[in-house]
Amino acid sequence: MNPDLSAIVQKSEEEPGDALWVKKARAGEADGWAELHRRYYVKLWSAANRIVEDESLAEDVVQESFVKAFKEMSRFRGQSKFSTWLYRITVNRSLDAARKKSRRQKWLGLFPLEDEKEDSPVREAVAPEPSLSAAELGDYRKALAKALKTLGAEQRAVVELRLIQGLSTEETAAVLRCKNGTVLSRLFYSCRKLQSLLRKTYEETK
Amino acid sequence: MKKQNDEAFLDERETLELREKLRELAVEQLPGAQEQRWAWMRLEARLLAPKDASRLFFPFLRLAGWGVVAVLALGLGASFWKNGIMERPPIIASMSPSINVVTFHAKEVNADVIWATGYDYLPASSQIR
Repeated sequence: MNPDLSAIVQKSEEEPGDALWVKKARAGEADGWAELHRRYYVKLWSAANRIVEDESLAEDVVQESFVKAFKEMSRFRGQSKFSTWLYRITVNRSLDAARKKSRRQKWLGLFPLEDEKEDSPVREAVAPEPSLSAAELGDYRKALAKALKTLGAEQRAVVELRLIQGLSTEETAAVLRCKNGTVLSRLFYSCRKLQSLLRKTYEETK
Repeated sequence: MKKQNDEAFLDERETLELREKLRELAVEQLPGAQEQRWAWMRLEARLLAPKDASRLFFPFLRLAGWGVVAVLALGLGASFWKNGIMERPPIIASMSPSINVVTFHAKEVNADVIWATGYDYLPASSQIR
């Protein structure tokens, strides 16, 4: 069964009964953690995947985030919502993972493998298509996925939390530990960039 | 690019359309129920595994290691404080095998110097043949 939109889009208020499960989780009860995992796993995974752009890495990040939350549960004082706290842990870990991944890719790019050198026939055979075909470009989602990759990790975080999952500007700012204005300006820039890239893509296919 | 500090652009038709497409893309990528169950099973095993004695041992081992380092550092520090880092040891600083001269560089007479030479007073850089 595939999850639907309600799996990630936020309701206007915190899920009823979060406080009860948080209390059970704080007491170390397994069913408390099981319920919190059920409520937040998909949302956190979506946020992590958007930032790191790697499904298995996102899985690891979310796992590590829950482990950290488990270990630091005694430090959670309830001054913010539990969901905000959990999102903050996950987004911070995701941004760290994205930075490490980016550094690793830069280093790997300096030392290409033998079969990746330009004149190699193997490279020509396995090299990806330089651009999507007209039929593929007609697929809005593929074009959108490609356009998202042009955004930075922090911009993707804002797009995921504020636009896709529907957290409020204040909650998004609390998760990212920045001002409301910063969230809005990053989101504005990201939306304009995505819209411009998609417009250009469709103009090229005509 | 112009900065935007209010939410007006979020209500624009283009932004709403973009949001719907982004949500469709996000939902396509989400893990299914089975994957979510597996993720919970892995997490549960990790969070709720019973702690055994060996896991309590390692913090003590770590503490003992740091204790040894601290003792060595204190000992080294005390030695430097007593003897001075750059000063030569108080007894024999150099020996010339040909003329059997022993040069002392002691700045003060101490028990070691008295024992080695039998003299209870030696000016700095004295020579004993």
